[in-house]
Amino acid sequence: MQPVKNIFLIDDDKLFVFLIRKTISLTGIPTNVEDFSDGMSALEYFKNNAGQPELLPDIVFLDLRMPIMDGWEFLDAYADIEPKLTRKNKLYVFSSSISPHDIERAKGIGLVTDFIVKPILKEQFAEILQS
Amino acid sequence: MKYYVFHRHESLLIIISPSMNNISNSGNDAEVVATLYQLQILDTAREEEFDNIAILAAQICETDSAVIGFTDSKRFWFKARVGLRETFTEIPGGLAFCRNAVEETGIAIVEDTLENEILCDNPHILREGIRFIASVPLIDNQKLTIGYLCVFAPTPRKLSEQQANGLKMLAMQVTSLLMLRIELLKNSVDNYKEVEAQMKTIFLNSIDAVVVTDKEGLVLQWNPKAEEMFGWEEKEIAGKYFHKTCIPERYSDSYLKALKKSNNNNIGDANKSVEIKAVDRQTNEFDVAIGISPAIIRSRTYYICFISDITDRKRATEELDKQKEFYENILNNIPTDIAVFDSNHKYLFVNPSAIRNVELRKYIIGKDDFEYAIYRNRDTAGAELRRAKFLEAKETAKEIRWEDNLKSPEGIPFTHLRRMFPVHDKNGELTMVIGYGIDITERKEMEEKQSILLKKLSIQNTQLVDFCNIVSHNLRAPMVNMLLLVDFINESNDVEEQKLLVSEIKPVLDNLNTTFSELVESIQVKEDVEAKIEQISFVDCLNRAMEGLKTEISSSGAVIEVSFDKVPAIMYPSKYLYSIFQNLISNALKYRSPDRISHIKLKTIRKNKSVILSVSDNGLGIDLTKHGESFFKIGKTFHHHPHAKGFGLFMIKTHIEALNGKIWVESAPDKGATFFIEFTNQPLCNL
Repeated sequence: MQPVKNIFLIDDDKLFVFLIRKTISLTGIPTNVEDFSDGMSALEYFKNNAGQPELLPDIVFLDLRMPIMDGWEFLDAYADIEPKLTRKNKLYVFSSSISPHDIERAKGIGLVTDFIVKPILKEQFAEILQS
Repeated sequence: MKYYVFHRHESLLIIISPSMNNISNSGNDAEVVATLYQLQILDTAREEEFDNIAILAAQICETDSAVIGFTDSKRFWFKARVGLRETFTEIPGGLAFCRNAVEETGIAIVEDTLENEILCDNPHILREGIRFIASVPLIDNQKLTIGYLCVFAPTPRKLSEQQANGLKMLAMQVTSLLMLRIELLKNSVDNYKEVEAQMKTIFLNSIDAVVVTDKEGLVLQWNPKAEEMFGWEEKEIAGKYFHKTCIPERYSDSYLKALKKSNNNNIGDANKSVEIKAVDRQTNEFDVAIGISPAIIRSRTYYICFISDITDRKRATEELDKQKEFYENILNNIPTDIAVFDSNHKYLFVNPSAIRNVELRKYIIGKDDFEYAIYRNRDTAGAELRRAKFLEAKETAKEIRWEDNLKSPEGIPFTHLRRMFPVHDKNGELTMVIGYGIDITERKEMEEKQSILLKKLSIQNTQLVDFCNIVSHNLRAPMVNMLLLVDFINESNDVEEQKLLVSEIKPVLDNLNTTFSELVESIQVKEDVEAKIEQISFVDCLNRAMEGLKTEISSSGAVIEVSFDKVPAIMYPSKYLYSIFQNLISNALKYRSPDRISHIKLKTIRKNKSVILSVSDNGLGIDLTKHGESFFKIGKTFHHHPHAKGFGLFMIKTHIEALNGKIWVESAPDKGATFFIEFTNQPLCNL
């Protein structure tokens, strides 16, 4: 029995979150998915639960375009919190942006595992979840 | 001392005979005459020295009269005499003494002429009543007897030995006088000859042509240089008029004027020359300088002309003038200010580009900028700056550059690039400082324009990046969602689920459609920078915008308060102002607080040439410490609001900035927000 993976989706697009949840469930991998509609609420969660590994994610999917606090602003603030987290995670920037500037910028940040351009195929998703 | 007294019966003592007029070495008449000629004494005026000796002789011998006389072939002529009639100046036929007797005693004495065979019937002796004669010969250094010192008495008498000796000594004194005279004459002749030779050499070898003419201009003397210069030999030109032969007709007046003028100058003043044309024998004309000296010799006027050929000099001068003109032309016409300073910062030269007014240009030479500033009633700040730069150039011995921001008399600002360049001599001493000034106003303006353009470009580039982002997010995101939805619909076997998924497609499409329209609009704004500017009333425009938002306003129950009385209208494209009202009011309505009734205040005020519109609300507000920087970015949203797409503010900011305006915001979370818009360049009157 595979361990259940904690997955965080930080994205304001409700429809997209709905579709991603569906995609993840189709992979058949046991997961526990949490979603945050902007960077700020996700950041608050990390701050509040840094010492509780069972509540922290294995994988984070971060959108760039969000109200209140966008992906970049989140990454800035998250860099301060990340060392305190009791469970390490992989962080994927997950955006519909095709701007080379955005891609370069994201890959230049050490905390970012990879930059994934939306949409994503089920097979790709499975690969990431199992790695 | 012995002496002889001659008697008539003794051997011949005195012979007066035309054939035997000299008792000295026989046959030496010619020598005596030559000596006398050399002495230049015959027929000359009386001289005091000789007269004094004659007086002394008469006194010593206690006689009434005495003479000093010389004998040539015809007569015994008196150079000096005392106690004789005025008309008795010579004894024609001469006077001679026995050589032997005189040689022995050195004196001949006739105590009574009537007792003397020869003299008793001499008409001159008789006529003058001379009865006594004592005579001592005058012997020159060649032992030639050239004359006698004689004393006469009207009565017969004797001479004492002392008197005879005194007379002989006086005769020797006369001889000494004569010898001295010969020496003097000889010297003066030598001098004259030397001077003449020198003059001749000058005349013959002069590098100037020397021409002597009479008062009328007839050529009298003509030196070899003149022959060479004019091509006429002296004998050919003699008797011709110089100004008619050697001066072109059109210049002969100038020449004659110069002649006349030379008379007014001091004699011998040839310093002031005239420059005219001369013509040679081959009728070639050439440039000459003529100096004219008038000379008056034996009351006749002569002109001595010194003529030098100045063709070469003239050519060299012309060449120099040409060069000078060439350089002056450059300096005077170059569109650069040029000034040259001495080591004390005084002006040595300034060109017309630097100072246009010729009088001022003359004034400044030898003065400095301070004196000039005071003279022109100007501030000395500029002079101080230049002095500091000058000293810097002087001390560092290097070129100094700076930009001088100035104002023309009409108040138009301009910029000069100035350079000071020190120049040193071979010993390293500062000889001068050359100052340049170039008007770089245009370049400066270009640079400023470029910098503005660059700023604009950079803004546009940022906007383009933003635009790319919005396309990515707002267009691509819904597309991605659609793709996923369609995939799921295809793969689903559950009809209910399919229906649910299909129902999700419609809002995505609507969203896509709205986004697309707004994007198009924002692109059009950018292209429509030259929208028509017209006078537009704030109230009218606001009413139109509120008409479009009627539903939202009435459903929200918002209160809108207007205060446009200070500035009721502006010059602006009405389409843009409409868009501003539409966006700001819809924003205020969208982000109103759920806890209180929305209250929107609109107000205009004037600030100098600008009009400022403020739109305040009491809504949710924005935390500017978090969002200040990205506030007006395209696609930026600050609320989890279904309509927050972030286009509105980006669009109106683009409008406003396209017309050089500004937009900014003041806000605090849950207190509300105030947007300020500055419309620049609004005329003060007519509104």
